[in-house]
Amino acid sequence: MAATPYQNVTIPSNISVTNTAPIVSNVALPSPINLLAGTTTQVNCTAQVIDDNGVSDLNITNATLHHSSVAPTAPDSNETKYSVVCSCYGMDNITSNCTCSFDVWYYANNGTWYCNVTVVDDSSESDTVVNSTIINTLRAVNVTRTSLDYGDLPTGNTSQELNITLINIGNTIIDISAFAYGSAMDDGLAMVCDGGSIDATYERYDYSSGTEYALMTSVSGNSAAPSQMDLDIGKREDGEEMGDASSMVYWKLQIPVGAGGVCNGTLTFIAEADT
Amino acid sequence: MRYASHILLLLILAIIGSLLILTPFSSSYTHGPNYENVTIDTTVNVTESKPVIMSIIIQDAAASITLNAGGNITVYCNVTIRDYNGGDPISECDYTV
Repeated sequence: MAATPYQNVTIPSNISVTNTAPIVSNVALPSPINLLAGTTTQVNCTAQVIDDNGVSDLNITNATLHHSSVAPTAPDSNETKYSVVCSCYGMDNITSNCTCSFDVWYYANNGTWYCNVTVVDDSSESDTVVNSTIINTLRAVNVTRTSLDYGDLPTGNTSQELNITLINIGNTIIDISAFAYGSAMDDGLAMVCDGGSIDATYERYDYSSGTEYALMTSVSGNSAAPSQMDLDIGKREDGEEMGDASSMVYWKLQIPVGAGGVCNGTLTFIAEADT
Repeated sequence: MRYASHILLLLILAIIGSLLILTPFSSSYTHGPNYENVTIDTTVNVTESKPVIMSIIIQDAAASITLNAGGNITVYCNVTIRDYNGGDPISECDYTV
């Protein structure tokens, strides 16, 4: 039997790829993030971008960092949304490593945040990749003065009223607790003097100006059971200054018999969870 | 052969167990470690503080005083006074025996 004549044929095929869309990959950022009180914290979101047409085809790589409560297209806000242009350098002909640095303010909302990295090439082709992180709660307090000087006071007299402004330098509403000590923590004193001492019960505070000394609250001399100040100091919001998120507390001191000379002590203020 | 496969299975289980122990639990929503507190100094200068009698010593702390028959003796009382405003403001010192 004769063999069947099989015949094959080969034709060449060519296609010219004029542009391929860039690709974003390996978006990474630290988690969780602990913000620094009262200032900004640099958060770096890194990514790799690839363009088969070469890194010279990449036009721009930008990124947003936004809180879960807002859309990535929301306007920039120190509380919820940051936008930057990333800094990229080529690893090879088609790959760049990018770093997107955000200076995140201390009052940025706590919770889940997303870093969206977007690359656009010269043909307006683009790609976006997202990764998430957690910004932790930051409870922090600062005061407007470094000392409380009651001046010169005769024995038995009560000082003039002095005020302390407590500023919320964290990212959530806070209450404040406070305690005093003389020479060492938990000594139960407000101050130690050249002669004698002043018990913590003689140093008093109130939330209202002009309160009579007898009606004011004695500060605790015990760090384990500090005085609880239900101040509800809200966190700073966009458009506000740092000092706007604050509350004032008024202080007086009475001099007991047995204290003499120059007296020195310490007051400590602690940022607490709002109750 | 069967013995070898059991050893291999135990080895794999040991590796998985080690990984489970060494891998930290997934991070959850926690308070940051940076709770910032603040401390300020307080001061006062106590003026016109009352003088304080620190000690009284009679006749050099003698256990008893022997009088002179038909006469008198001088009994000394040594008093230590502290005034944080200095010695000058003490204008008088009353005493009775």
